[in-house]
Amino acid sequence: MVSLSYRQKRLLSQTIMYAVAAIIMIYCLFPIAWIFITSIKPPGAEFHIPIEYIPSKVSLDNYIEIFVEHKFHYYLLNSLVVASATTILVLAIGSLSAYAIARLRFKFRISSLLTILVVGMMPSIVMILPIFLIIRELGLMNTWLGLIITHAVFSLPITVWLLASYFAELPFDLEDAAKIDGYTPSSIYRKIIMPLSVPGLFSAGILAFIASWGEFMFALTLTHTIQARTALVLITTLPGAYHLKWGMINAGVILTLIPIIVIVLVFQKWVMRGLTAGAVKY
Amino acid sequence: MVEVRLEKVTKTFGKVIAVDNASLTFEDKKLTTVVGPSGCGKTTLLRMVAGLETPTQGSVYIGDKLVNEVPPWDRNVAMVFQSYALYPHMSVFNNIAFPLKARKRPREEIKKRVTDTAELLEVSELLDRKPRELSGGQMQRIALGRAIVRQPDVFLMDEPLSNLDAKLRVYMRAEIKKLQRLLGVTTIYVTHDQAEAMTIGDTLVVMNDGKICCIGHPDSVYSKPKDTFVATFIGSPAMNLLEGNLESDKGLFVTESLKYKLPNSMTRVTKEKGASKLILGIRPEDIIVENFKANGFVKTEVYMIEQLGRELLLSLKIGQHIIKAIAPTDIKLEIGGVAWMKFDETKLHVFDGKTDGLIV
Ligand SMILES: Nc1ncnc2c1ncn2[C@@H]1O[C@H](COP(=O)(O)OP(=O)(O)OP(=O)(O)O)[C@@H](O)[C@H]1O
Ligand SMILES: [Mg+2]
Repeated sequence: MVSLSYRQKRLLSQTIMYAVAAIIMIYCLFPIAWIFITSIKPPGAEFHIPIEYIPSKVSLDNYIEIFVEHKFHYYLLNSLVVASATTILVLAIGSLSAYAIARLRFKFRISSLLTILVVGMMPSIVMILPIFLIIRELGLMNTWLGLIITHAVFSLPITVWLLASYFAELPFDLEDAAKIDGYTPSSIYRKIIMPLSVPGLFSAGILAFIASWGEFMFALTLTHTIQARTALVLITTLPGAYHLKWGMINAGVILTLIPIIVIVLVFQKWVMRGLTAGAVKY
Repeated sequence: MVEVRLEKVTKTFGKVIAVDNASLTFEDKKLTTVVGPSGCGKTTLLRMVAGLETPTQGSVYIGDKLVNEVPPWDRNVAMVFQSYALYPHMSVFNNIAFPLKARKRPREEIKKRVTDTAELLEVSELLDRKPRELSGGQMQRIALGRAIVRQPDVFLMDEPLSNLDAKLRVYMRAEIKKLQRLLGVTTIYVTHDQAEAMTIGDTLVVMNDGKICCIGHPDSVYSKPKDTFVATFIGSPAMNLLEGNLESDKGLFVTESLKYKLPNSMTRVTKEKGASKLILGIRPEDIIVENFKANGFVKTEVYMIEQLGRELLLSLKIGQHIIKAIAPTDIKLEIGGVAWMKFDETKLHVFDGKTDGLIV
């Protein structure tokens, strides 16, 4: 056996690490890259043989078509409104319940936490019929609100769990100190708990936003027109009876992906900053 | 005038009795230290005065007002926490200003009072920093600043110095004492360090197992400990205790391995009290040790010698007993050798062997 020097060993292990990372990257990114490449080919060019891995001609026709013919911006707007409102609702309700669970000593603390967990683990397909009926009876079919409520219901359990564990980490002394400094519990919640939980709120918020943005089944069931239907659902309805416009469909996919990528990139930094700033450690 | 009064206060957590029927008054403008072993209920006592815990039974008065039902934010008390509990997301300035902002003071007043406080505590150059950019000692000062800035009726301090290194702790002790004198605010100071409690307090309260054992001036608690617990808890190294019986006709205190002639006055009082099982207490510094035989001295074996710096701490063996004694460093003794010791009779304590209470 050849004995390697320390430097060589380190080089070897680094090479392996990068190689593995590269494989994972390619596995995740290739489909997206492929979708992107297809979307910027001129319409119809996606069927050309041999396959052009690098398009010989770049065109935005697919993008123009999806906006002009299908009014894709309205669907993006629906997605955006529903996901944003869901996020806000989930954070508002979720942080309050998480705070109660993390801090207050009440009788059904543990059982309420477990109930939330069970609801959270329930497969959504089980709930589709009751929710469909409830939303219909409430007259919220094909509305933003109907979808917002539904998405919020499904995002709340994870939000509550996440935030409850986050709040539980905050030292009790801070709240006690604030009480003695003259603040009532509600202002302590605003002035101490919320600011210190920014990273936790961001992580929970991002999860809720992405879940709502990418949710398919309820969006398909509860919305049917341009008034409320989300971008993701529209894409699945694009294949026509007689022709398959892959280029345009892929353009839609890319457009739907962009906000998610932007959000993750922008807010990830916030989440990380909050964590590394040692907001709760001192 | 703001004195704090507890009347028959009891606090239980489930089955645990944290504070047991405590009645005492923390005097106006005085610094009262509460000392006791870990878990004896000191923090709980303090938190009830702060309003962070409600007594299970009994009444808490601040000034003349019954405050059992008053929430902490409506009591004008300030507290310094062991963990400092500085708000990590606020600058030092805002940390100190926080209690003033709760009272909606005008902006200029807040600014002036914060800067004055910072000057008093010599932390003016730290005002723009965040708590995580401070050393332990600096955080401690800021925590103190946040407490004094609002001119409270009562200061509560829960082991405020226990996270500091020994040298800083001694220094801050003096600072806190000075500050308290200057501001003249009734202060309750909790610590488990008996030396700290002795040096800093105008009044010393000793707690054990949820109960108040004794209240008094540090000197009198030290020189006339109420019972064996107080005797051993206050003072370091701890008081020696010897269990034995009184042979009352001869005035001899007898243990398995030692016979000691008690002073006549002590024998008389003990007889009057009718106690025969006794505990004899003597502090290490009240034992005279020599390396030669002298009149009235008892022969012992040197079991251990510890260097304390200014003096030596000796463990002397008589039969079963190990007795701790303080001796000057220049004494010539060796481990396993012989030493002669004598109790200072004026500093002897006699406790009742049944009740642990002080007899003389
Ligand atoms: N919130 C609580 N719930 C249950 N038990 C408690 C609570 N707070 C205190 N106790 C119990 O009450 C007793 C007294 O606790 P306390 O914190 O007052 O002791 P302490 O004298 O401050 O001790 P230390 O010197 O370690 O700080 C302990 O047995 C403790 O376990
Ligand atoms: Mg304590």
